[in-house]
Amino acid sequence: METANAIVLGIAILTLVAVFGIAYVVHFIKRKSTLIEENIALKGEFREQLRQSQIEVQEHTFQQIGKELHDNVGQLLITSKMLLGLTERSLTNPPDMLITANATLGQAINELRSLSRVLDKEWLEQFSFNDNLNAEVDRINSSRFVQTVFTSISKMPLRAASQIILFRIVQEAIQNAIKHGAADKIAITVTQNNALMNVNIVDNGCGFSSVEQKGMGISNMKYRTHLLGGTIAWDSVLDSGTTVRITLPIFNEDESKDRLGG
Amino acid sequence: MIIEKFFNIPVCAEIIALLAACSLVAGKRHTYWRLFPLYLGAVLTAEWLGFSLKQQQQSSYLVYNILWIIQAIFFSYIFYRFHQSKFGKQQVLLIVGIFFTFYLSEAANESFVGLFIFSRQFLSIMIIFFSVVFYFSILKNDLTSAPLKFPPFWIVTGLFFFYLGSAIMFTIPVSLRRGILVANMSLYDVVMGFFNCVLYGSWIIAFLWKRQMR
Repeated sequence: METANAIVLGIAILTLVAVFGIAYVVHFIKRKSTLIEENIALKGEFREQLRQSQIEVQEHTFQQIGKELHDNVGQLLITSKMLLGLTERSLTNPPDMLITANATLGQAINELRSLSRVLDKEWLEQFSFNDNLNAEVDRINSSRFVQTVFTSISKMPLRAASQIILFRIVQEAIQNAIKHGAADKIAITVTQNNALMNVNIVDNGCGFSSVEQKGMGISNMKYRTHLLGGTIAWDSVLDSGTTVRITLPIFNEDESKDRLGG
Repeated sequence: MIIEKFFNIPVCAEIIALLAACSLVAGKRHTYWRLFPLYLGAVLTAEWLGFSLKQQQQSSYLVYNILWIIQAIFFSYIFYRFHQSKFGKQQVLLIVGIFFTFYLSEAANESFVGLFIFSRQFLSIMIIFFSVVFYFSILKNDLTSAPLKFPPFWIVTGLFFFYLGSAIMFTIPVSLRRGILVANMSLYDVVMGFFNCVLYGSWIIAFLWKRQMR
């Protein structure tokens, strides 16, 4: 009986040792997976910071290019236009080509001015999605080939930097609808639902299949939407048109400052 | 008394595990998991056949010798499936090959009249070894981040404890093993009853997690 009890005790001790061994395995795996998760989170954070730096560098580069265009190239063009104007006035019967060249140069100076204005940081900080898209819609509608309708919410719940990114995405979608879809009707709708903002771009173009997406700036649009922390999806039916759905989260001021380096 | 023999603690644990297996992992989607109800059915049949042979004063060794070969095949297959690496799978095949060599040599010596104790011990050590290798592989590879929710972990844990207990039991002399310990139950009945509960309890948890995963 005593031997039997000793055996039971021995088995109990051995079982306990085995239990501790297995508990250690479980604990070790859990610790390992926690470390892996932390590592993934750190990598994500690093990627996010990298993206923010990319935006900052991009903005800085744009600003430099804008300044150069305005202060250097712009001045040279203005001087050239002035000289052409003087030449034109000094001739009693100036040739048509000189008049056309002067007018084209004037046009180029205007284009350059608007381009440098677009690249200016102060202008970027005051960017309004609604105003710029309305101007874009007016420009498209003035061609009379495409009829574009834009409806939006009165106050955009995004910072200026985010509004620029969203504007570029919508611009790309409109370009796709016209260039690839051959659409003649485009409707852009911006709505807000609690903490989400929805932007839909619907066209009546020829649509596309999933394999035809290359060369349509899709990856660029996805990347830009990702920068805003949102999602983008395409619903396209061949010969019926395409709907681009953009859903963006609305962050509070502090969060959005963090996200876009504001 | 006869009812008690036919429905002792291990058999009750087996019946509960069989019912759990039938209701949780019997579907076609469960791949090799659907073999568990068949295996548990075979074990239950062997247990009852063994009891009835004992009741008729006949030797039940043949039944248990055949059951052990079924166990060796089934568990080797399970471990073979659990292993992700080719080396692990080859290891299982090699060891099960050694087991069959021992089993056949013991069968040639005993002519199925006696109990194949050596093969039974080899089976225990083989399962313990497979289990340890399995634990090592989940430590080394990222098979799971939550072992307690990983069905194979519970299957292996149940097998590990059961065969650890039975390995010790089969090294103890028969006189001591069959000696009454408490409430008309022998040392073997008490210890193996406990480890049967651990085995089938772990398996039921595995079946539940497997069902959850679906």
